[in-house]
Amino acid sequence: MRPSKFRTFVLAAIAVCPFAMPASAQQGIADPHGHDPADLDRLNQVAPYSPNAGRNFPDRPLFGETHLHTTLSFDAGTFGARLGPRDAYRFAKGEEIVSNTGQPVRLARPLDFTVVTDHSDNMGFFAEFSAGNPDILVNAQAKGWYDLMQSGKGAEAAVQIITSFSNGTFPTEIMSQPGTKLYRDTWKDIIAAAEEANAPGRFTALIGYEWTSQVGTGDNLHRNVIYRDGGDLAVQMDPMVTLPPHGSQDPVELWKWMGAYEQKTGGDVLAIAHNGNLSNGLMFPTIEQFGKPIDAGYVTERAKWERLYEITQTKGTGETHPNLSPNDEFADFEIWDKGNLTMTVAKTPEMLQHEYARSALLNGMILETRFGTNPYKFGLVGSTDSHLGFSSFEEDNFFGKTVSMEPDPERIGAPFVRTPVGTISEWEVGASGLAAVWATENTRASIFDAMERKETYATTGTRMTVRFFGGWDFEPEDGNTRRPAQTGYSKGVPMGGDLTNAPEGKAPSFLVAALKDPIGANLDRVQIIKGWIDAEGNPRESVHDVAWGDAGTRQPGADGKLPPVGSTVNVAEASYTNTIGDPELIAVWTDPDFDPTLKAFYYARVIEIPTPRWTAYDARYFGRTPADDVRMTITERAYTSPIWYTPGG
Amino acid sequence: MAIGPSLPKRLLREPLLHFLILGALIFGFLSETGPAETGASDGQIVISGPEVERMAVAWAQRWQRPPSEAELAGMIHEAVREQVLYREALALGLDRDDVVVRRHLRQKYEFVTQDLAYDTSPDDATLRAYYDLRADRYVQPARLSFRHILFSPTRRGPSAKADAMQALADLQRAKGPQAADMLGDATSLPSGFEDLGAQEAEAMFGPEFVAALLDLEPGRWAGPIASGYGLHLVWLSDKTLGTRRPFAEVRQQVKDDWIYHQRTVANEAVYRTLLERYEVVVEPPEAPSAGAGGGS
Repeated sequence: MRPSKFRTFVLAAIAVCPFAMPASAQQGIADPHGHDPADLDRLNQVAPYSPNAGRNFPDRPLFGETHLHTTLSFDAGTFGARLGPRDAYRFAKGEEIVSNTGQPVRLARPLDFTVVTDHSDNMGFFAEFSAGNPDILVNAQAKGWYDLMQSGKGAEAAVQIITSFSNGTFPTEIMSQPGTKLYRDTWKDIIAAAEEANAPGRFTALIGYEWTSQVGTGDNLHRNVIYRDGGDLAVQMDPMVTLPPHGSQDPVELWKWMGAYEQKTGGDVLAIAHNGNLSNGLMFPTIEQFGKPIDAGYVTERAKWERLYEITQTKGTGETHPNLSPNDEFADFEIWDKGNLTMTVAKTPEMLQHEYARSALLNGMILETRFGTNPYKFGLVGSTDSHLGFSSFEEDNFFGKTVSMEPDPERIGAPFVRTPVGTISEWEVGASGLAAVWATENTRASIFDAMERKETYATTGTRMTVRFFGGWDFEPEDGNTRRPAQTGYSKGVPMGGDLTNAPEGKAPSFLVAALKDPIGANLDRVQIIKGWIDAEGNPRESVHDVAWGDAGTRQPGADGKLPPVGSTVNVAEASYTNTIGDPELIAVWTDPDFDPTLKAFYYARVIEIPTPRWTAYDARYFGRTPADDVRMTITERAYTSPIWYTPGG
Repeated sequence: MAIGPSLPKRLLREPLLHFLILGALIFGFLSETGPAETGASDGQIVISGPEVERMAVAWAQRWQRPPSEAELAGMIHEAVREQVLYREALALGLDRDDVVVRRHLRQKYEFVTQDLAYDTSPDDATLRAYYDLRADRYVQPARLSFRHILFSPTRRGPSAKADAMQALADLQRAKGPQAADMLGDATSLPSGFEDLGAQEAEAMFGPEFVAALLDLEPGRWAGPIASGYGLHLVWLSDKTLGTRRPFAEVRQQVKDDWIYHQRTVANEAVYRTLLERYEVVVEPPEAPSAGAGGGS
């Protein structure tokens, strides 16, 4: 959009318009079922105006990836990923590339932005090692691995390298760590790839990396660090790592690094945590962490640096768990709850409330009462965590999470992780997800700023459009206008925003508008999820269906429950039809149980009609019959950032 | 560093050398998968001096001290045991039906043969020729200014199309884009756009809608055009078709594309050369197959 051209257009329109606009037209007139042709000529005398006049909000969300590994990530490279950041950006822009296993691959539609986030520990080691960098090969152990690889035993070398790294016996003198030339060169190359790919207005390549803290034998505390800045600033400091002497496993130290970076460069960075579901109870602590109590310092810093959480990706869903939300009929969705990241320690039920976003949003409000700041006041995004060197999230085009999972007739029955603790099968890996950002422009600054104000939502890989506004004055008619966004922004706050100072006698009302993916499945329903802390200080939650498809024939039963939308999926053919559900759902909902003295949050969840899961496309393509427990359908969904209500000012 | 030929691979740009090395790799590969290790005959297991040394180094790395004699002997015994059982397993053909083994071997093979040789410094004439060949790739995307009115089958049912046609007739009579807001159905899709890129339009309305839109003549009401949301009447006020970008502006992109193409071709050539060594027979399935092999 170009504002200056808008103005020309509007002025031209006004010039031929002899009368002032009727006020009602600016609000948008609902005329869902007809019109009077006799009015047309009259309207033509008065009506020319641009609906876009003064519009300073985005027409559409930008869809992108905030979590992607390439060959420069130690683990990805060692296990066969050969594609680098340049391939990743090329692919994101819609180009066809050849995958690590030699298969041509292309996205159905380009992405609007991508952040390559390679692991900061030992970054670039494998690429340089496999290239025979002499500085590395002076080390006897490295030379041994290299010879092993050169003699055709690449996979064996990979296992030895990874094992030595996770056992802490990797030779430190050849490790790629901050301060070494190898590390510097790798970081510069990552930055250069982003600078080359960045095309403001068309495609944004943000600079980033993953800080991969793993506690114990593999409790996941990972964060992705994303820069608002260009290479001139990002290059001034090497990324934060987890290994001594330069790094730490403690997020508190990461936040210090972020503060130091901003102070030194004048730049701006944020961190997005992910996979609390594999943290074994450590992702969202409420009592202590690393032997230190959760205190005012922890909650302030966490709230400052971690404004987003990655709620869905290939390794399961992070919204909520059926044990935590027994009354949420959609809670049992792509759950990974067998153990920690490495499957070395099994999961126990008491860990769950410290692993999932919804319980964290609740616990955060309790901590806010105690310390004055809510550490878990985060917005939501989804991304893939692909280790392929390209993002893969489409059900009918899923290349897996690691190179071992690239399409192959056997993958549907193969194990992804197998340890004495348990097995996670490759079919359990999900084709998910995407980050949707309501940025006003497709630029680093605009996308980053939208992330910081949490005007974002997550999807499990589809590109549905979801708007969500909260305020005190939304009325049912606002759900029937031509410009819900204009109404939303003028009468309320968007997703990620705050409501305070409840007017006397009023309850918060919400305007939610969802459009299906233009080439995807219809929508089953829109829900608003409310979480609050009751008068006794206990966390509570409720799920409300606020709009649904096929409303003409489908209404809640006597128990208040909306009947299922049904399914058109033909698993054998991996097909479905859009003959159920609606392409667009809009509603205004007012909280019926509002208590102005209690803290609360509200977020929207939009659910698609059932569609074939990637496993169904796989089975059809390879002509396989998967085991009975393999899920073959999926109900894709979007989760918006919450809007918080805080009593008082 | 990640892209482009790596140090030892850079030495191998000569095609002749390339194929000699490839031959050696294939030979090494085949002999490795056979029952005998290099330098050892059937029935003989050799644990070489360097191998023993490597075991000792690995031990020292892990335990921060050299292994004792007994510990080293233990490791050697383990290595021998592994060789014995490995060879017996091969002799029984246990590797044949094992997915994991097959997949590992394939990956190992690709690992050593990929990216062996390709040119990374084309001259300008080469790039220009490539640019001319792929003219459609280096374009400034089309831009569109339009308004639209949605007629939603969800709201109107089967009459959506007739309603749209009636509205179109009325609008054409009214001869202007203005009355649009009084017609059709409420939607959260924005109702008008100025100078919108084709890619952005596709992200909102889908590619088929945009293709149909680009075919319209500006300055009149037309349609209905279908999208995933319903039927749209559209007033296209302006369109700028995609234009070719000058070579100088896209030189780097052309170069990236060209190198990428070389790499793909080189890797495929390796496979083709190997494939020539085999006669491939695909037998038809005995029973009718359940839709295997379709694209996705």
